[in-house]
Amino acid sequence: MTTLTVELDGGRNAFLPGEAVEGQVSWDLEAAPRSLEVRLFWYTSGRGDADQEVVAVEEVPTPAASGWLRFSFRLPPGPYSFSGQLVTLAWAVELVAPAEGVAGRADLVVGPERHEVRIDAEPPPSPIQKTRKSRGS
Amino acid sequence: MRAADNPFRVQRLVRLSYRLEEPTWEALLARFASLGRRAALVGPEGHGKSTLLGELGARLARQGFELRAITLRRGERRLARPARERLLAGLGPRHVLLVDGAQELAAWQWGRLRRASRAAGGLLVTSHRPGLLPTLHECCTSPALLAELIAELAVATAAPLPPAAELFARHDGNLRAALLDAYDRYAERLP
Amino acid sequence: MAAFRITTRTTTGGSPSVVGKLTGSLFFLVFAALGLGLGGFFAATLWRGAASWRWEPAQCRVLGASVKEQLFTLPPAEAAATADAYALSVTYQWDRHGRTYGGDHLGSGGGYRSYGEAAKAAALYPPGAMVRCYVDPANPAAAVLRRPALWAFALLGVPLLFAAFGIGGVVTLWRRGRRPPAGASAPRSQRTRKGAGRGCAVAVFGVFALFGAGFMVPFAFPLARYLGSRDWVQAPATIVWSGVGAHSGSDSTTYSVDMLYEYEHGGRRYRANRYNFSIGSSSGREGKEAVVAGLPAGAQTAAWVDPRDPSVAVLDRTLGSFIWFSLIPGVFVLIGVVGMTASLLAGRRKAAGLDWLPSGAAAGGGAASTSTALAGGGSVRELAAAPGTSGALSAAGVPAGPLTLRPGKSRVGSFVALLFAALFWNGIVSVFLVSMRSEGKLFHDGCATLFLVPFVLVGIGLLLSVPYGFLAMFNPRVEVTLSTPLGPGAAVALAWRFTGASGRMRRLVLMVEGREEATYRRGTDTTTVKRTFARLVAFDSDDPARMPQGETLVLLPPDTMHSFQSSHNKVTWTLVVHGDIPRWPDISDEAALTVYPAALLAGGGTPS
Repeated sequence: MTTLTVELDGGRNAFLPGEAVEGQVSWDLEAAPRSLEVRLFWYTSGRGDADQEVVAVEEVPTPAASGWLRFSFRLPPGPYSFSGQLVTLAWAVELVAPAEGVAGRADLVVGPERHEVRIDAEPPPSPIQKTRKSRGS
Repeated sequence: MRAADNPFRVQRLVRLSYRLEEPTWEALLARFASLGRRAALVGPEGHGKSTLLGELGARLARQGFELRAITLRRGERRLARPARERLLAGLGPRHVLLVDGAQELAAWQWGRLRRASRAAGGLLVTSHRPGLLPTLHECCTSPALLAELIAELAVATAAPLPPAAELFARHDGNLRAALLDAYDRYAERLP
Repeated sequence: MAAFRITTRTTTGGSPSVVGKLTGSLFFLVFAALGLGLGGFFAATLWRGAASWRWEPAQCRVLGASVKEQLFTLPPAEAAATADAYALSVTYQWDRHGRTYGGDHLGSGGGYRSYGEAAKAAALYPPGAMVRCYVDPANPAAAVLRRPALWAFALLGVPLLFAAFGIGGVVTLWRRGRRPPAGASAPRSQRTRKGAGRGCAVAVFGVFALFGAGFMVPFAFPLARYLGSRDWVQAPATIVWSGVGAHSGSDSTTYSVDMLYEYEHGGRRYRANRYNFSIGSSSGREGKEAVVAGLPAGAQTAAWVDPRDPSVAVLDRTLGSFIWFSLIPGVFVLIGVVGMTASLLAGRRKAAGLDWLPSGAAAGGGAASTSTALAGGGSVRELAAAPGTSGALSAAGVPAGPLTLRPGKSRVGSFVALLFAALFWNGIVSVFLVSMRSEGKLFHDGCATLFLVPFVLVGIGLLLSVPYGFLAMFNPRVEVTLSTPLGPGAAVALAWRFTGASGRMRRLVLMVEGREEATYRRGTDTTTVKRTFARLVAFDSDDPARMPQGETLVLLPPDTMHSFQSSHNKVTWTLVVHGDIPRWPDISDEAALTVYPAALLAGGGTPS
């Protein structure tokens, strides 16, 4: 059976920007993968097509069919994990065997208070609307 | 509502499966074979052509065919050379070409692609209008289908939606537009 | 609140059509042809002139050197047009295979505009001196004193750059193609190449700047001469000959004022042929004919004489309007420099892992840059560092010190655009109306009349909006300064000042809005949705005394999102300035703000 897992130290999954993300990856594949990497990245979901960016990569040197490895990443100052009505941005650490097309993932939250920034509530109404003259806008 | 919690988020919409009412998948694949594996999926925007193309492609891949796929954007009247090379280089009978949005190609470009694809084992396209190739399947939508998709996406969520028939009519049967409309209605709900 | 949603449907920009590519190719081919043609011509000329570089060095004895005053010896019409008023003449001899040869061939140059320059050159060849010369090995009777400078070959780079730009443009145009979407694989993350294409952008903008600079050189000389002529003295002069010189080029004829005049300075008689500081010739015959008619042969006038070299003089010391043409290449230089700076800054941010911060954020350096305009009536905004702070950027690209925002697209620009659109639209529609009326169809052919109705209505709408745009041009203008860059939870002093008739405002609202934006593409369809998620009213008053200028505190909530931008998703922040003016178009300006994550504002280092 093929398994790839990412475990964060202490089961912790919430971080401040700039903090270190540490943990351990382990894998058990049918054959030795051509290459294996641990990636720190963010991705979006919601009303728009998904965007994502890999921020840091640690490559596993000459991986065997199964094994484990400790990793450590330093988080950048942003972007924060956030959720609006249209866009959610989330962070994750993923263990990927690119050639085999398989991966395991652990989600994490990066925010100023160690939680996701919520921007999905409605804002107060605009004061301009009240006085706006009758013209197309 | 958080965008990632919205049951109609784009990442879920693209994973919806095509509801083939009739004939069966096997019959459809047999018909494709009988047409010399040169055929088109026809229907207006938002009627599931791209989804059906993807699913037929997956089944052809399981039959042992190697897929070469391309999606044309609106107004993309010709294939850029890198794309054409990736699509046509070293074509053999084990290859099937999938062309999403073939109606966008200029007539001479389409003719050229069609000629070049003779070496391939198959050519399956989607188009808004019939006539490019024999029609394999005409993609239709119905209020019932929209209701079924909504039910699948928004399980156990109190629906802030109008009846599927109303939503269906408002978007002229364009299910993609209807489902994005549903997204917007859900998005405005309080967390 | 659906009222705050703006949905735009746009056609996806696919590859350019064949017609587009052909047009583009034509554009680039003109560049390439120009470059290759000029380059070939240059190269052939240079190669012929450089023959003496293959000759053998030898020692020559100078017999004598003198400066010939060409303006006194040439026929007047020729003298008035020559560029070489003074000619250096050197006679010398050399020994070859036991024989002595003599000659007076200089080899390169020899013509001078002023006596001073020519005399200085002559001083290098005192009689009896041994100087280096070059003898043709095939013909020992042929020798030169000077070889043409080889740096002229460096000039070949300019036309070759043209050619490279043209050819490169054609090649990329036809090779560029959209990649098909990659198949979805189980891993969610994908590694992408960073920084691709940036070097290309810098190169293209660099070529722009170089072209511009190259074309500005001809304007630099007259300008330098003009600036150096401040202390010149006047001397009475007599016109010897005057006429309009015609120079037929490949496609048009240009004209020049050709003058020959005589004056005295320091007890010596001089002749000069420069009318003013402009160089070369230009189109437009009438103006030059008028100048010539005013100064016929024999006329008495005054010349401006350079006291340091009295052989240098002009009749008209003003710079002339031609110098404004230098603004045309100046625009190229500006585009090039701004583009290069922006590309390099973008690259620096990318290297710092900050490409998710909107690009407007980097516009702190002295050069102002415009950020992209929002769909839905947004305006082009400038974000520039306040004067005096030099707008230093930290390594992470956060501007230090106060920021000055000048919201609002150029109102004159929008008015002109509106006026042009109205004239264009109505011009075309009126052609149809007039032709239908002359055919007697108007109001008689119901179908055709009905068809025209929407077009006429749009035309009327455009016409009605022209006065509105005109009035809006005279609205007060606002300048807003932020004490420090914005960040979640940071208190920032916002100061504003209106210039213009701000007393007419009845109510002023300053607020900061946060918006999220998402774009979805499927098949041939693209939809973009925007939503306002935060709205902070910084100032809202109908007290006229408080409107013209003031200061207020902006405090973004600590738990809100900073500015963010990726291919399909964005979080943007905007300063909205709204002023109500009774019976007048309202002030409605927007300026893009960049809200930085706290770690960047706190001086946090760049990410690892």
